[in-house]
Amino acid sequence: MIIRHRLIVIWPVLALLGILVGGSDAAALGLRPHWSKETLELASRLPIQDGGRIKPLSTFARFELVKFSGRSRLKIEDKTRLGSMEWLLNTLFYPDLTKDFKVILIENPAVMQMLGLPDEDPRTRFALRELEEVEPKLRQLAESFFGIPEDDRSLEQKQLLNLFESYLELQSLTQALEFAHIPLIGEREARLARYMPETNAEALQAMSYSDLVSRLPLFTQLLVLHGSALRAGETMLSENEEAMSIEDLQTLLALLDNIELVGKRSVALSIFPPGGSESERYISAGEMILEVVSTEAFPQTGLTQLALLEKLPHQLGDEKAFNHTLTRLVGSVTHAARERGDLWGFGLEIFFYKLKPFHYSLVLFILGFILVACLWLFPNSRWLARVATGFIVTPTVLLIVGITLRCIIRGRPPITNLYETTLFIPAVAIVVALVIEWINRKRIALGVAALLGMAGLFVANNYELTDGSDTMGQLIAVLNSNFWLSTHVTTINIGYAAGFLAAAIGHVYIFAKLFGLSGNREFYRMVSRMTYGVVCFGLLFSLVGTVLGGIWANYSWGRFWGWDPKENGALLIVIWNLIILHGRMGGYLRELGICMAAVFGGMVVAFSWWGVNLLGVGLHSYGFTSGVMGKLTLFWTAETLVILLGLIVYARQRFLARSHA
Amino acid sequence: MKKSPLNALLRFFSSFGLAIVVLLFLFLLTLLGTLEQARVGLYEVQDRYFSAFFLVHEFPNGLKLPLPGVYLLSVILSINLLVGMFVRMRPSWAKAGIYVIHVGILFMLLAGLVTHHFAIEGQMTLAPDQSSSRFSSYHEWELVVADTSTADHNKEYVVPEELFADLSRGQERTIQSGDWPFDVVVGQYARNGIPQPERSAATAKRKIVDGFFFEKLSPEKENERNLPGLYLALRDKQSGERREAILWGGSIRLSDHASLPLTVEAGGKQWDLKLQRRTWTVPFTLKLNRFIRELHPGTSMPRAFRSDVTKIEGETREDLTIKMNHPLRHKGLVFFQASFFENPRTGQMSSTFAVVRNPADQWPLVACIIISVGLLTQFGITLVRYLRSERARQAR
Repeated sequence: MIIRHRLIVIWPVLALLGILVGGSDAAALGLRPHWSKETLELASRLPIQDGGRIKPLSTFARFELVKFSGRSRLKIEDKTRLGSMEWLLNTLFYPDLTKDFKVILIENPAVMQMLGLPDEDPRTRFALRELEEVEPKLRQLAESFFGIPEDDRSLEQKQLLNLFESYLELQSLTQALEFAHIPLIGEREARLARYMPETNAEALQAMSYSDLVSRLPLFTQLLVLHGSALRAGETMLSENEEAMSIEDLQTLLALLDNIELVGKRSVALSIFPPGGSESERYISAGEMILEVVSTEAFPQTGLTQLALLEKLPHQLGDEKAFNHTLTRLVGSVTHAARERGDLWGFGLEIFFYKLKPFHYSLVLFILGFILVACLWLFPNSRWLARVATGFIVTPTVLLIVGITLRCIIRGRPPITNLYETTLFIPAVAIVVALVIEWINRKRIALGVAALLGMAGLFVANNYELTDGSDTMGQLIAVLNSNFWLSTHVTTINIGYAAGFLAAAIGHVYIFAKLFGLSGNREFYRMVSRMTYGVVCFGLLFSLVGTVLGGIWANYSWGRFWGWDPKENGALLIVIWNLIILHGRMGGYLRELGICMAAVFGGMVVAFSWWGVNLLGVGLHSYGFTSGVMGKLTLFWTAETLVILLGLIVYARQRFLARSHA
Repeated sequence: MKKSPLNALLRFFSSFGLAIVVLLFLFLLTLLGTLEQARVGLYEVQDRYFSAFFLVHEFPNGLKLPLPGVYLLSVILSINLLVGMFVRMRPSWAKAGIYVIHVGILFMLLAGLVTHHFAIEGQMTLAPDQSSSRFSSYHEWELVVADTSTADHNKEYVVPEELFADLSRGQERTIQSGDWPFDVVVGQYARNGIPQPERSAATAKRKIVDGFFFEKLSPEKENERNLPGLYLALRDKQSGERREAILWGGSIRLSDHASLPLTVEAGGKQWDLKLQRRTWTVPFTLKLNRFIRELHPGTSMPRAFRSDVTKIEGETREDLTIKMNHPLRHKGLVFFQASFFENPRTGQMSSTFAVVRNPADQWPLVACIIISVGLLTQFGITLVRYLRSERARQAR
């Protein structure tokens, strides 16, 4: 009886609150709340624990939005775009308003059909409110798919489970500050004051959530005392204490439960650093209750921070006061986190995401490539040559600076996950191309560098948005070794880079021949030699990298070579490079042959880099990459066409040679 | 070089053409073997593609293609390398790096050969405070006949898998020992299966023992999960009386007769017969003190796995830690942190170590150093030459 009573109380309150808060939002703020630059800046600097690490709130916002929507900025109804931080603040402070933002991306129309959502085009974004309407169906399907073993789930089933996860997470964000609004002490609850010696009804009624949480042990004591008094008779109470009526006891029970229920809904932001040194877990407003109950010692700093957070939603109309409270909150959390030594690279990370080095690098590479193309048309213009070079060297430097910043922020070598390979591989290819350019000054490697920069950073951007998880995330146990990450992983990826560079230069040869861009035999000889040189460079790193991989495997799993797909992928690159080398020595491959083989080598590298991850077997399949298959097939098809074009060139050469004879 | 059959042979075995053909086949096999893994699993592919002399690859459209296996290709490649080094290459300082590289590659192939034939690999699982000096294979099985009435309780006769693995339905083989009061007749071995009660299927053609028959199942993708079984009969040497039984590698207790191990009394002694994973003994004892799994805070993502162990060797005891990327090496054996098991009832964490004995354990490291030195030398030489010619060209 009591239990049912307790649960029933809370729901009408929440529903009413929804109407109240939602109504007041829209009325007070017109169409869309505005966040000043200062507020955004301040909030960005709030440390939050997510995915096992402490990151700035702005990073959290960015990757949450990317995860939900596949974009780092959100387009809303009136065609304006919200930055990820604005989106997050809206979600936290104006949940009712943001429930109508089209945030959650569903790629597959089959999933929309399963849920009975209006059948739309693939890649449609839905609002949280739309999904809430189909929640029972979503939940029911998710529960049934969850019972299917992971490997046996179909694509739609996996997508639906991901959707369910996103749905719950976004919903949880909209509830993150709910605790600050819910009036837990009504008139009936205020009556409890008479059993508490140091308070009165007014004071009790004025108590905020954080006040109540901090007094939780008092309430519990009260419950224990009067509960047992009721059972054992009033002898347990001292003379001036009044025995609690059954009705009040029920109210007390309900209150305790409501506090917990409200807490359970506000768990999205783990921003309160743990008090002691034993725990590394930052807690949310909701978890603070457990902390109070389990430690019994009051986590004073935590409660102060909680009170500050609770104040924020009530100061939305007064920016100055809001920012003041926010400054205090950020200051307090930052101080505690710094004391714990959790803020390594924190400021630099904010700087890194503000700098957007890879974004600007991509833009500059595109401009650089256009300039190099102009340079091919006007080869004698010296100043054009200088400007073009500048436009390629600058984004290269920016790319390297970006990668270096990431290394410093994380205290790791440049590659720890698939995303970072998409930065590192083009960087290496470009640097090698620039070195070649510096040696031979033919403006070929320069153009190739720009092209690889464009392609590489495009892939990087794209991957970041599709993968939708923090690209500076923590490492699983076996990868948690800076020594092997910096030796094996780095060398093998330099090998990949060389493979793509050789393939790219090979393209130059094939297309130049095909369209007769140069009549100079020396030109072709040189391009082919460049290709071959890069293949040799690639072999050096691929071979050493592969063997190092084996040695690492021998250290962590006890076998040097296990024919694991990723190992095989690396081996394929090595074997293919060996074939090119020996084919040339044996006279089987000449200029054109080497270039065509190098183009195929690029396809092999693509298989090793992305393809084997799609096989879904093996210890190495750490990168989840659905949707990559289509792009990969496209790449392979295009490259096969290039090789076929090479064959046409070959046939024409043979034909011409014969007709000359 | 004179034209003689021997020279022709030497020329063939040292040719670039052979090297390229072998490399092309290696490329193809590695590719097919990788793609095939998604379908049949790693163990099967290793067996059929990478350790084989010959194989027939079946494409998804049913097309069958006979191919040389990686083992054969490696042998040819080694011959090609060796003969090529002596016959083809003219010794010169300019090619010093190339020699070194090829020596390194040969050494690595040799390491592969030694590993393939002489390395043993298995696992040891320990609960906290449990100790053991035995580890067992992932893939190989053996039939053990143990005399349990001896003083040390431990007189075991081991029948290796090779002696019965080839016995299909209707075939039998008798295994004898002068020490046994009976002959063991084994037959009808299946790599994977489960004993089933007689009534559970149409059993008209099946051999029934004590109300059970052994149902053959198709092998699992992960070979470690396969549980073999066989039919067995004990024929008393004196009376000639036959006693039938089913032995199974699994551990569900089915009935007194088909239980594991099979216990019999014969010749005045107690005998245990069981089918178990091939087991090796190590010359020391390992005791698990505790297993620790660290998670990244607030996630279910493992940050580290660690086992605190004590190595006991005679009177000496040594406390050690085995963790990811930090194995324990001792007396030619290497113990790796492989996995763990959490008892769902008690929450107790057991730790599983992969145990490897490989005479060629560190050879690849040596090979890697040799190859790196060779590659760096050679490409260094080539680069310097290229830079010089380029400078000369630009000077012109």
